[in-house]
Amino acid sequence: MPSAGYRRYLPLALVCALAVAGMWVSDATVHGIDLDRRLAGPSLASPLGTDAVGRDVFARVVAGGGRALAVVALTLAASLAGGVALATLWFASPEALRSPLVRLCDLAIGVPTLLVALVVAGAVGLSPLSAALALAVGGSASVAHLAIGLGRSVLRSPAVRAARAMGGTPVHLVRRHLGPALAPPILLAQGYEAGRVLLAWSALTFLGVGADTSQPDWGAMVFEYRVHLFDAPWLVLGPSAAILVLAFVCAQVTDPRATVSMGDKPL
Amino acid sequence: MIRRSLLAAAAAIALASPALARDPLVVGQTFIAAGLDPARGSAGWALVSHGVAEKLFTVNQRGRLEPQLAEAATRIDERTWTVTLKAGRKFSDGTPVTARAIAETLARTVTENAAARASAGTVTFEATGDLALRVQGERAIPSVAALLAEWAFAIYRRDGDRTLYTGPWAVESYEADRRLKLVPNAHHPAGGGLPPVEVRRFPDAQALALAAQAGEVDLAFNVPAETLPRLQRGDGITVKSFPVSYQYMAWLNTTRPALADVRVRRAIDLAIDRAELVKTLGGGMPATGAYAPEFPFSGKAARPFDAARAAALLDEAGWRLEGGVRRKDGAALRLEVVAYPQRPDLVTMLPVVRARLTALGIEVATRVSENVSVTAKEGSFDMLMWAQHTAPAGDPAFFPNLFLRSGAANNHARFADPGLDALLDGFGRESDAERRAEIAARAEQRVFEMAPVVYLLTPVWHVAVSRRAAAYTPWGSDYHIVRPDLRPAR
Amino acid sequence: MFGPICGRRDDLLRHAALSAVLLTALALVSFALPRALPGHPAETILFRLGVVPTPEAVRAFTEQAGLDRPLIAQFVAWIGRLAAGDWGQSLRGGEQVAAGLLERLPASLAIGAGGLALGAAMALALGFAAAAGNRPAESVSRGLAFFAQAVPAFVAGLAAIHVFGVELRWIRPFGGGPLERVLLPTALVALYSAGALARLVALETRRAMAMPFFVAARAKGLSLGAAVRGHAGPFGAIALLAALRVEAAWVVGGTAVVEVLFATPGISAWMVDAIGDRDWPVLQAYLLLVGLWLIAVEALSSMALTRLDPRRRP
Repeated sequence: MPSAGYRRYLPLALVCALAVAGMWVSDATVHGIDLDRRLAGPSLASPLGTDAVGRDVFARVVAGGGRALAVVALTLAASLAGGVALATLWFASPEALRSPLVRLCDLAIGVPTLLVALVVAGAVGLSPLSAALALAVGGSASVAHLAIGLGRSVLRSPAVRAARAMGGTPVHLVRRHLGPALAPPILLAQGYEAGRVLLAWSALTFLGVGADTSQPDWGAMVFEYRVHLFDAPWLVLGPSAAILVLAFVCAQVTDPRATVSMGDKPL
Repeated sequence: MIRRSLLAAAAAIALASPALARDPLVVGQTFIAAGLDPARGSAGWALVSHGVAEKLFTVNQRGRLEPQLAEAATRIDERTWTVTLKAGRKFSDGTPVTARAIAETLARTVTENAAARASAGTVTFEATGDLALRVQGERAIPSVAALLAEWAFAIYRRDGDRTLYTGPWAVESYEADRRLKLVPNAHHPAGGGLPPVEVRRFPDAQALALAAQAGEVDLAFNVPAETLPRLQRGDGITVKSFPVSYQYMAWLNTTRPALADVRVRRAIDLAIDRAELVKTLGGGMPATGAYAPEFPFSGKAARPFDAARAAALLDEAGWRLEGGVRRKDGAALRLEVVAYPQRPDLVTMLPVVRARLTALGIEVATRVSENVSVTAKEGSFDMLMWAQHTAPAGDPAFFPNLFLRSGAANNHARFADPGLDALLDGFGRESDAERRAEIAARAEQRVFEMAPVVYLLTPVWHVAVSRRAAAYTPWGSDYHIVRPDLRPAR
Repeated sequence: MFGPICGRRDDLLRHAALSAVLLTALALVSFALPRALPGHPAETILFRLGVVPTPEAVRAFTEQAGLDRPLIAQFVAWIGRLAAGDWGQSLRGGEQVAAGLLERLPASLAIGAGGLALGAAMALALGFAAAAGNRPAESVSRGLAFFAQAVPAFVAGLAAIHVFGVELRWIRPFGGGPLERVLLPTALVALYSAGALARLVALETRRAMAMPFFVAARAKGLSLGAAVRGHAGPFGAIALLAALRVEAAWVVGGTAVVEVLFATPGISAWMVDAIGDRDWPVLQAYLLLVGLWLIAVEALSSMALTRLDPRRRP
């Protein structure tokens, strides 16, 4: 696996590069309207056609990549950070507090993501950061759950017991034993989350939390273009395909045979 | 519970029969009464719109106040009026509408519904005869007709837990957030020959349009413009488009440093191409001012569009074009334009407004605010896109008094101009409609010069009707949707 | 409330104490969250009513609703009334919250639970078939999992209404009988759950198929299908049950998009309205209900899993 390891990062790197390139798409191209070229079909000049005010959909999809990556990266980072913190808390806690902590995590996993997101977005407005915080509530709980479960068996293993007997410091334990054992499965689960995060974002716009459809944003684009679903389906297709590609690419990084995502649906 | 409803469902499907002649006419819309008691929240407004409730006075199709259950009103003093009622009107159970019955329930409304105390404080009602009602406000009542045409003053009668009304239809059953079944009210002058009606709520307007296409609703009220081509192709569906009195406008926050300069505000006003906005929304009329064209006191000429003049004004104000961006003392001219999702048209116009301002060299940030009442109250915007019914009672004084007078409760632009205030004071002295229209015109002129607000357009809304409801003519708002002309065409 | 209750007395006490703490925390969060939203119900609702929010009108509304009292007094009064079975009144239309929730719960449950049950059934069928080497089953579950990651539910829902309601006219998604109306939303929930669950079932079943007992079962002459169902299948089923625990949580409270789209008055659609109106009494009752549901699902599922899965017993 290590030999072919770098290859699975290639697609993600490509997508990132595209997203970075998207930042250089000029404002005039992204926001430029042309009311004489409304709802034009796909052509060489604009491969995904133009929308109801004549904006180039392809340019908007490319320009929206950065934002989408930001939402995904922020959410995953927040989930990881929160989850690791919770798990650390668990390991540091006395026996009596441990079981309630796990139960709390179980509860948090179950909290409907959209509910939290609606409340957070209502409170501080809908932005990549606020959405990430909301979506990370359930995310960090499931990371913590996984880390606690796996960490327990690692700590009971003969190798760790021996290391402890020989006076290994906590830092040593984490670096040599816990980290290597825990990181792969935790990251694997995270890789599946990208698509879910973007769809939840899009669902929020549908429920009227107020995504700004004048920004190039995949979730908001799917929402905005849904009214043309039956007359100009390519409009929805562009951002949807982009979401799918990003979801797939993220999953590929952590699991080359991946297609599965768990957790709640943006219904 | 579930099992029982599943059984009921199976039975319903098994018994489903071909459409009966007296099948209710289905009206689909995005809102439905939140309850059946007008003393609570918005119920009064929705019930009037559903054709269930009436008021003593109402606003007719052309936006004029007229008596409904009342016959006439005379003023006793500043706070007191006498209202006489029409004879022979009945509630839907046949009980006559008397001054005493009205005094009793309106007193209850005023105690329980804060909205009923908004205009004249705690109003008291006293029956001075069978059909004579004395109305006294805590504060002055300039026009009792305007006051009693407010939604909170819907007329009803309590019978135990039931609430009875006087409108052309009576409530048969009500399911919260879903549907309201109506039967014709035999005691209403227009009640004979009306079909039963079912008002159904569709929170998503596109789903409503699909329901119309599928033949599931006979009248789909306010469907998105994007769905019209498909609807028009539908079998037996007619689309009727009509201008509404909700004006689209944009407040300019006059407390922001750049916008404190009237030249910048006027530049923005001149930079907006209304015709382009009309094209974007697929309908509507460029605004001539605060009022929709249907009103006799509305402006006659469309607001001008002149990008060159706008640029010159910005130059004059010291905002010079440097590298494509307007700057003054090194700082860029930057505006945050805010819209809200409850009026999707406003969000649709955002990119177009943005493009016009950007073309002028203004840096534009856009935002969509989920709770616009907070944004308006805090003033956390430079330019706030807004939809407003500017003459709900057919009176030109309503809008400028509440939105533009210095310190007014809804003065979102934070605009303070003694000149305008002095003009508006004229409304307090003048009751003749023509003279009031003149005052309105002069006030409008002043507002155009000071430009605290950019009037954008008078929108059109669209209804899709089936063959059964083909005779239906929509009125210019969502205030009266279910009306007697829903009588099926023969 | 915290997992299976053991016989020991101090354990019992500890569980009781923890449950009390948890319920109090839940009540506090339910009470505080709606109030953390910017905007006051008085201003928001008056604005939606088209009433000018003059200071007097706002004050009158606030007093009427009892929202002018200190927060602690409001909280205590709310808890007191809850204990007496009174969940308060909606600020928008005066609707009784408890009755309103009860009225809307069946639709939400039918869509959520029905969809999940259908999804789980599809997952078992597809998962076992895929584990036994059936290629089409593998592709279908893969396809469903992909679909659920790329297509927002509102787009899929609109397309479903268009195809089945408008073009083919097989069903009446809005005006039909109760069963007809929940059919599409339920199918949608099922489709969105089935893919991922099927892959989970397949994964766990395959893992069990690598174990010695499975090889032994095959050596005894059982066919592949019979061996999968009889010996490896239970592992897949248990994994499915563990996953369903997470999914069951959003049966109540997770179906807002389909409820709004299909004009189904469920509790989640009510919550969306209540957020827009800042209708605090409705929101706090809703949050409380979802919290109680989560706790109940958690307790029931750990009991069920302990019973079913010998590995989890102490």
